This record gives sequence, structure tokens and C-alpha cells, in this order.
Amino acid sequence: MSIHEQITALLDGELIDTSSVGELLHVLAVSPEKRDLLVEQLVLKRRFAASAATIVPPARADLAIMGGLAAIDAGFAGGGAAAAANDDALAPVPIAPRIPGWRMLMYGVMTLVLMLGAFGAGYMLRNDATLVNTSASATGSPTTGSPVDDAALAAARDSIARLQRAMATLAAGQPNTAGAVESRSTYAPARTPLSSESRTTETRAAESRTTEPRSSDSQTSVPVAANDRDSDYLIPSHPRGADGESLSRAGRGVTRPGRSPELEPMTALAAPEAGPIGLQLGVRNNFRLSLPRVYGLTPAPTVLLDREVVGSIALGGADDGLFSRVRAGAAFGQTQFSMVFHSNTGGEEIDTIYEQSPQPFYGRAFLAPELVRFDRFAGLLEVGGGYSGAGGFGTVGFNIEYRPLDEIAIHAGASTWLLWTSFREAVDLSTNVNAHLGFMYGF
Amino acid sequence: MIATARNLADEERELAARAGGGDHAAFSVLFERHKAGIYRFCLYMLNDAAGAEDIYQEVFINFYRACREGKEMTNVRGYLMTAARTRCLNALKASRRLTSIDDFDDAGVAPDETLADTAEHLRDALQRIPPQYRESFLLFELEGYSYQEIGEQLGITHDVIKNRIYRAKQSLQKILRPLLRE
Repeated sequence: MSIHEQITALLDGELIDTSSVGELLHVLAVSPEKRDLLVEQLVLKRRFAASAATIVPPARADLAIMGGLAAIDAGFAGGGAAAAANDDALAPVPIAPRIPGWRMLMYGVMTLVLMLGAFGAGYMLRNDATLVNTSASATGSPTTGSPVDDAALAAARDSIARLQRAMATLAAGQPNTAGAVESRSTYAPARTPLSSESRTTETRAAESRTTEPRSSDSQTSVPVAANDRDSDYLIPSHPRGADGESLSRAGRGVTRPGRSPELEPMTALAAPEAGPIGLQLGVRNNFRLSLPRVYGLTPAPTVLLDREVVGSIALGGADDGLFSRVRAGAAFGQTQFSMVFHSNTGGEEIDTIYEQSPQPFYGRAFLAPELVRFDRFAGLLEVGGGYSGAGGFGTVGFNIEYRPLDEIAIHAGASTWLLWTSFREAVDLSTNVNAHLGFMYGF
Repeated sequence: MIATARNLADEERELAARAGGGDHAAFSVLFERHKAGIYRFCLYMLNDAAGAEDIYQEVFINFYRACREGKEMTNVRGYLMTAARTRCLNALKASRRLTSIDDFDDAGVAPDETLADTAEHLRDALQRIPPQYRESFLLFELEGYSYQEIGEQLGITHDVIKNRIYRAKQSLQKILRPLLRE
């Protein structure tokens, strides 16, 4: 405490520790400047007391009040509708929780739509690669482009399947000899007559040490899937020959160079693989706006206000899926709420009192599903609740995380904390809107 | 002293109940006992005699009406002061004289040299500090409320009250220093 605070506490009877009192009196005894502070406070008290004693209510106001009593009595004595109406209008009424107006509801709906939109966009982005990968194996028409003859498409798939089996056989160790080529021409009665383009394909396949056993009596185990749906091969949306002819006319196999089943499928749009970080610990600073606005706000005397220690842990694994990346977390810190009280002095609207709560400590927990991830950036939704010295509250927010290194995360975002309070049978909602900046370290 | 305070509270509760039955004499006793404090508080909060007078009348009229409606008055003084405080704060808000303490910096305040009267200086100085500091200071210094009573009335903790009163006194001392050292 500063010397000024000590003097105030002494004069207000708040300095109860005898040693502190003794110390203060000693300081005052030896320091004229500090004695002047004491004298100033004493003079201030005396001046205000003297001034207050001279203030009396005007007589006309007293007369008006006493005259008003008669009018009130008349209303009660008259009875009937007048008194009842008066009672209904002025009787103290319990204050019910406020129903949000249309404006609040609109903001809520817009917020929900934005959140769902972000959520949906993240979901769509995460599944885009899967859609691309599986589009080729859809039966019937391709996903894009002009309609293609189903029979031709089936023929193309058959060709590819044969190539796959051939390459699998080669990978298993069978030699690629001229005899094998001859055997192809001998033992493939069901082969589709090949055009020059297909022969080119076959030559390439031969160069890559493929053979083409008869589809009907192949002895080789085929590592590829039994049906095209699981094929790793991408069929272009416009199946064409090497010269661009449509399959529907030529009935040829796809001239796309065959690929070994061991080769990685094209996954150009797959999200970068990043394993979930386990335990994370860090700190977060909140930039708070408390609503309703309360004037006469006491400045924050502590360094802990609006700062929290936060930890989180990954719940899911690295599997693809909607909620595979969900974090659960908890935080502990200090905050302040604005609160609205209604004092019952007759049920009138002017009985509303706005106050600032003390600075309670709180603990809160949250779930943070990851909505979107791109490279080292991620966007997470945070939903949770907590309990403070001012009461329980709910939280909802959004967090953007950047990982310059795997273990380190810098995050920023915004959230809304909603506190329901009751005072003298009235319940009201207080809101803290926070923007936050934080740093976390992962283990 | 505790017994006296309890007796006083019981007495006032009894008087309020009798006023609720239409006993003007009982109301007058309560009125005379509390009128100066209520008017003084309103005047110092608003620094506007007309506004203070209006609120002063409203407070007591509504108090009598509440008594007639059968409301139990467990703390007459607290009821009256709460009503006065609420109306004063709303009046300040309506006249846009409620400024945030965040914007308040007592480093630049100085006494108004044009004011001749000490009482005017004091009222002017009170207007230069935020209403939250002002009301806590008035309730404690002029109306004799304890920290606990102020806390119960305003719904804030002891530490917050202590800080508000300290800040009020510190600011008033700075503003009124020339006057205090005369």
C-alpha cells in the first residue's frame, strides 16, 4: 500500500494491524510531506462534513411530498378499478429473464449460419481428396464431362484390370520374355482386338515388365481389388484413346499408361498429413469487452486479469473423418463481468442498476473440434463452459492456430462468454466478448 | 450499540408498517429522519438542485406508495438510498454525464478558480470524479455507511469499495489541494 492508501485506511478504520499503524505513525512523525497528506485528508473530511450540514431540502419539496400522500390515499380509499389499476401499474413485480429481441435473435442466427458454413466448408475440404479418388470408380457416367457409352467404359475398365494383373504378376517375379508376349497372343482368346493405340499401350506395359495372362485362367494372385470400385487407377472423365478418340467409337481400352499397384495413387488434393499433437500447455491473453457497458469502471489492479493458463489434449487420431481431430482443454484465469441488477423500488424500469463484478478467478473446460486445416494453419471451434466467483458461464468461440514448429502453436481468435446472474429474484445475462492471443507448447 | 441499531431497525419497520396503514404521522417520523441524507446525496451526485429535488420527491412518494401496497420494509434507510442512487445514476446516464473511469485521469484536474464559495468548490470537485467513486465516497463519508453496508447495497466486495473510496479521496485531494492548504 502507498502511504496515501495507508493514511486513508487509518482514517477509515481499515488499518487494524497494530504494527502497521505504529509504522505509519512513525513515518508521519518524521516526514513533514507525508504529514501534509494526513492533514489534507482530515481537512477534506471536515470541509465536506461542514458543507453537508448546510444542505437542507427545500420546503416546497417537503410540501409536495406530504401533499402527494393524500393523493395516494385517495387512490387506495377509492378502491375499485382505479386502485386496482394503480396497483397493477406500480406493484413490485418480479423481473423475469429477458427474452432476446428480434435484433439479438438475428445476430444469433447469423452467427450460427456463419459457424455452420465454416464447419461445412471445412468438412467439404477435408473430403475433397476422397471424392476425387473415388470418382473414377463410380459405375455409370463419369463425374464430369459428356455421357459415355457404358459398354465402352466397362471395356476400358477391363483393359486396365488386365494391365493391373499383369503388372502384379511381374512384380511377383515372372520374367518378361518374347515367349510371354507370344503366349499373350496365344493364350488370350478373350482379348479385345487391339488397335494401334492399344498396342502402344501394351508395348509400354511390356517394357515395364508386364505380362497379360488370360483373364479366365490366371494362376497369379491378383493383388488388385476384385471390382473396379476399389481400383487405384484414375479414369479420366473423358475416356479417350491416345489420339483423342472417344471410347464410345473405338471401344478401346484407356490408353493411360498402366501403373503398378505399388505406385502411390494420385492424391494431389489430399490434406497434408500431420499427426495430432498430444498434450499442449500455454498461456492466453484475452482482450475483453464486458457488456453491458458499465461506466465508472475500476481499473484492473492485478496483472492476472484477463490472462489464463490453458492446456489441451488431442482426443482423436490421425484418421480421416469429421471429428477425428478434436481437442479437449481446460483453462484457469481471472476475468471480470458486467452485471445488471434490478432493485425493487416499485417495479419501474429505472430501477435497473449496472455494476461491475469483482475480479473473480475461474476455471473452464472446452471441446475444440478442428474445422479446417491447411498446411500449418488450422481453424478450431471452441465450445465449453466454466465456473467463476461470479457464477457459471458458457463459452463459444473460434480459434486460428499456426504451428511454426510441430511443438509450438500460436493462436488467435475470438469468443463470447455468457454469464447468467441473479440478484434479488432477477436474472440477467452478462456477456464478455474476448479476442485472444496465445502461445502453446506441445509434448 | 448493536442492540440500539437493531432496535432502530425494528422501530423503522414498525413505523413503515403503520405508514402502510395510512398513518401519516408514522411516515413523517421516517421522512424527517432520512430526508436530509437523501436530498444531500442527490444534490452531490447530480450537482443540480432541480434534478435533485425531483428525485427527492419521487423517492419518498414511491416509498409511501410501496408501504401502502404492503411491501415489508426490512431496511428503510437502505431502501430509500437505493432508490435515490438508482434514479441519480439513470439521470446522469440520460444527461450523458456518466463517463468511464477508463477515461478518467486525475493528473490533469485542477480547481475552478472562478468559484468563490467553498461549498461550490466541493460540489464541483465531486463532479470531476467518476460517479462510481463519488457515490462510494458520499455513502461512506457523508452518510456514515460502513464498507459492509455499502457492499451490501451496491453488490460489490469490500476490496472494490476500499479501492473506490481511496481513489475518490486521492482525486479530491489533488483537485482541492489549494483549498485544503489554505
